[in-house]
Amino acid sequence: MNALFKCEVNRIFASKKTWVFIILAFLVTIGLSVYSTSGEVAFINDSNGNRMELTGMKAIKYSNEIEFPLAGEVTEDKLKRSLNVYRDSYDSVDDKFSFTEEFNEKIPLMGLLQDISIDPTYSDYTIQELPDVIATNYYEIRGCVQEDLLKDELNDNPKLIKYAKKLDANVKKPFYFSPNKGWQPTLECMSILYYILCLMIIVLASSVYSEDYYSGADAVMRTTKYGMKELAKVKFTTSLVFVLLICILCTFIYLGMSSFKLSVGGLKASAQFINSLVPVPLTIGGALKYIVFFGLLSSICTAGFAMWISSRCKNPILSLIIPIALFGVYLLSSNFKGAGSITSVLFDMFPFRGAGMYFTLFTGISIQLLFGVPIWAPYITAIISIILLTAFYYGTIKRYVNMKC
Amino acid sequence: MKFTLYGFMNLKTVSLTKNYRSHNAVDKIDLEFTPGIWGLLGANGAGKTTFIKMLVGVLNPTSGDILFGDNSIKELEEKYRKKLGYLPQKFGYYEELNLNDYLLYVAALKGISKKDAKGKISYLLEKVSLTDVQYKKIRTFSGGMKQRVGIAQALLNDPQVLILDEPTAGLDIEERRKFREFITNYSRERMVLISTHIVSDIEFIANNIAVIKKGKLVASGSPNDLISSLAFSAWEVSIPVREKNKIEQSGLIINYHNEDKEDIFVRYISNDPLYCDSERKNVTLEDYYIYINSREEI
Repeated sequence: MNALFKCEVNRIFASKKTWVFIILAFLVTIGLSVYSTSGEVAFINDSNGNRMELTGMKAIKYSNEIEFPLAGEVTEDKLKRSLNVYRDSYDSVDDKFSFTEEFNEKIPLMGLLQDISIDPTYSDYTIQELPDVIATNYYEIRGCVQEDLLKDELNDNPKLIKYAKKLDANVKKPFYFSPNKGWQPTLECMSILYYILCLMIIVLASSVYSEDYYSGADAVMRTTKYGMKELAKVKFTTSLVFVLLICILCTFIYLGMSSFKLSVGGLKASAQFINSLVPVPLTIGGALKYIVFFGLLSSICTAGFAMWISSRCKNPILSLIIPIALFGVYLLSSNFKGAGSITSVLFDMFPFRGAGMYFTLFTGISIQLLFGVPIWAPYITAIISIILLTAFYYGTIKRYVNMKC
Repeated sequence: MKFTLYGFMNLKTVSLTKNYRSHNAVDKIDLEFTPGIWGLLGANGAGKTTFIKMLVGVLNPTSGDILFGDNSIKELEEKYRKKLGYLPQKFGYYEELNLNDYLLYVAALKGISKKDAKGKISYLLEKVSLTDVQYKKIRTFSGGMKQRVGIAQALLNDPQVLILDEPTAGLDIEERRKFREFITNYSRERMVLISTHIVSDIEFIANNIAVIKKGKLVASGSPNDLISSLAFSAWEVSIPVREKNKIEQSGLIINYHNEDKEDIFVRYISNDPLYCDSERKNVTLEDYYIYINSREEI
């Protein structure tokens, strides 16, 4: 069997398609890493007091330096001081803020206050008009705002709301801040990277079996001693390992470039600096680990899915179109899901689900009902991905063995 | 287990049938393959390939069974495949691999160690005259070269049962001659089944021949037995072109060609000569095959 593994690895690397995949994967990784921080902006006052815009790496470097004194627990006292600085920096005559260093330092904390100012009590205020109480009672008000959000997002389902609150109770409070400029788009682009990799994996893995059926190569193979079950297993596992290794390499490249550009200390900041209202009991670094783990899991799950389809199709074009179409359906359906709904449960069944962990964690309340039991979405994704992967493995082997040419 | 010559186990089909909806591609074929070369003759679409696909286990029969020794090949699985060599009609290969790597891959699938495989590959490539292109991509080869790759891969494991579906397709005359010579030497102590619709491929080398027509086995036996079962004689004669219809009604034209504007040279089979100057010839396997295929009652 080892000899067969070596031969299959040799075959994979002898294929032009493989090298195109590898090169494209690396290019996309590098491209997204560069792109992820290109949109970052910071404003400063020049020597004449005029507003000047810094972008990309300059903005990140400046913000990280300027925000450094703010590192530590986000107490309500700190929030109040930030609010005062904001008020002082506001020029009511020109109706604009003065981007002094002191002002810029407080921006991350003001973001937290801005998030809870959607509360009806404060929604009519501009940021400089916000009363002290929003800062001095920040965590309590956040709880109220979050409760309204939970009711809305979780369709007033008491089970889900209770679970979400329990989850939020695990969020470390006061929040912890360390300069993290650039990490939010980096994490977001990382999920996009895994989506793109999933799409590329589909293109690569969809031909693993169907191309052999189509060319007739399998007719010779399946009449040999190890040409049935063993060959199907070897092809499946080799492709899976190959895909995983490439995705791990891409992850290393992406994270290597990111840690070179960004402040690694920023990973210690609470995940609430990405979205302050979500009940995600993680730091930014913790969220990053989730995104990487689920990205890699979805990459092998997608490969398994594409190979399963491939094992059922004699036509390589069909075996490519079907998973790509389902991938499209998945991306579209992500706009129509609601917590606990049927579409949401179906949404969780897609093998690419884990790739978008950033969006799961930060663009909604990531809690689902599974057989009436509320579970945090990452856990559901992990369980379903493992079940799917196992099913794809056995399903593929069974189908290959039973496929008659 | 039933052992015969040199431990060879006979391959036997028992009422082997394959139906595709209402079409009987293979219809209750009973055959026992003994060591030696077997020719499987049949016109295109007669059911040869379907029959062979079932023999090698890539297609399930609708009913009936295939026994290797006393056991069904379904039960034997890899024990049977270990002893099998197969060249399909449409030989597919891995386009991305060169010839050497492709054969190493097949060798690994056949459970041959890399060391043994290397020696075997060198030997076989020499036999099929492909040593010069050992490290070239198969996709760059001509049709005949690809066919020889197919033959080489089938022989890698020194199979006891070698099944070749249209092996000479794409080979030139010299390559066909070499192929026949090699297979004749190889077939000692082994069973080689060659499926073809070209009689000359097997006429002189086959120990036994099975003829399939419309999915049914219509004849089997040694070439001499088959020929002698034909109660006709073969005749050759030059006749005027206008006589052609007459000879067609009375006997059976096997072959003819124009001699000049007025005469044609005809080979026909018949009990008695239809023209007094007809010259009697020995009946060949081709005569027999054409006769069998032209019979309407089958």
